[in-house]
Amino acid sequence: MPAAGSHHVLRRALIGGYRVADVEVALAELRFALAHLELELQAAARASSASEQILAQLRRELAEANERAGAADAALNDARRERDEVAESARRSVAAAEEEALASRARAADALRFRDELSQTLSRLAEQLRTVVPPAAAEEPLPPAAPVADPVSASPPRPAGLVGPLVELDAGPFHELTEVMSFERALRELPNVTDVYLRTFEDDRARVEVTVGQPVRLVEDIVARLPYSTDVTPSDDAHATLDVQPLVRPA
Amino acid sequence: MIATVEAALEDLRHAGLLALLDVLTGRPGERAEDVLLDLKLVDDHALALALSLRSGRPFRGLRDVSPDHRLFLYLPLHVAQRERVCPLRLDDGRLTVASAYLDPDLSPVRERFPSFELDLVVSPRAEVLEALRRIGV
Repeated sequence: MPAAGSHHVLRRALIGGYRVADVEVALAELRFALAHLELELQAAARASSASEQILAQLRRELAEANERAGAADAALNDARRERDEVAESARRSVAAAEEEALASRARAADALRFRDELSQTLSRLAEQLRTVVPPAAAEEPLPPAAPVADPVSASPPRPAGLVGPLVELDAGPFHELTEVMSFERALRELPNVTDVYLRTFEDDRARVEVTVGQPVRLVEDIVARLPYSTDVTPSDDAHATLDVQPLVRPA
Repeated sequence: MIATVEAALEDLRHAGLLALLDVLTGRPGERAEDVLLDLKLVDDHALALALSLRSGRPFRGLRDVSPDHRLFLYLPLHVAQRERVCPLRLDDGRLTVASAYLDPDLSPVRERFPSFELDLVVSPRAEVLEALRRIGV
């Protein structure tokens, strides 16, 4: 009968039992298998130990990642809270600005109303003055109709030295495209200037038509405010000849 | 003439008023200026001024200018519209013509009136066309 796990055949002895040699061969085979299993067991134990170390390392890394995720969540929450605070602050600022604008509009409306009332009061006063003056003036030797006879007094006279709304400048010399365009731009940037039009350009000189919103002083309000050193030769009220040199601005 | 136009366009590019000059050259049968103006790549006022500076011809703004309709007896309206020109004045056989370009084809005028001298001034294209629309107004 063969032993378990062995292919060796045990033969019977003449007197009871198996032959000794067969039994020893079977035992040797079993010992060999046992030694082999022990070796495999050691290798498996080593692999298991390494796996446990890797597993421990992975657990540590997972714990660290969890900590970092927690910190990131906290930072995200902080950022969201900060954003909400800033948004809330901006909303409050806008609301305050709107209230301020409303208050300014109300003040402006009040000022306009006050101006209208003043204007009406002045008109009434002027009317009363006109009704009162003729009898008093009648006593004067001078004819009373003299001041009323001037029809031009209906429109307000322009103060001396003021020109507009159209001013013509003959400026130069300009040798480059950029110089002419810079001069036009400088004119456009002046306050009260509503339009700048280059009418002619010839022989390095430009004739520019400048339209102003309110009458201005030619030299003080236009020429002196240009970023150019300028020699002015006024030809009449609304015309002037300018010899310009750009000012050297500090770098 | 082409060199003068190219020099004027180069001036515009240096002035920051024109960015695509290189793309638009070399299209046969078209003026580079027309293409630039049609595509609104350059302001016609700046272009006219650049052409004036480079060519030495006077620049003339035509805003609110109403041309004398009698001058179109010498320079027919269809030629004016085609060549983007507008007659401004006739003094002693000298016809002053505002032109959007430096080289308009005014051969019909020269053939019919050989004694005339033509003085070209440069004007923005839009103002030339606007002045032509105002004839008879």
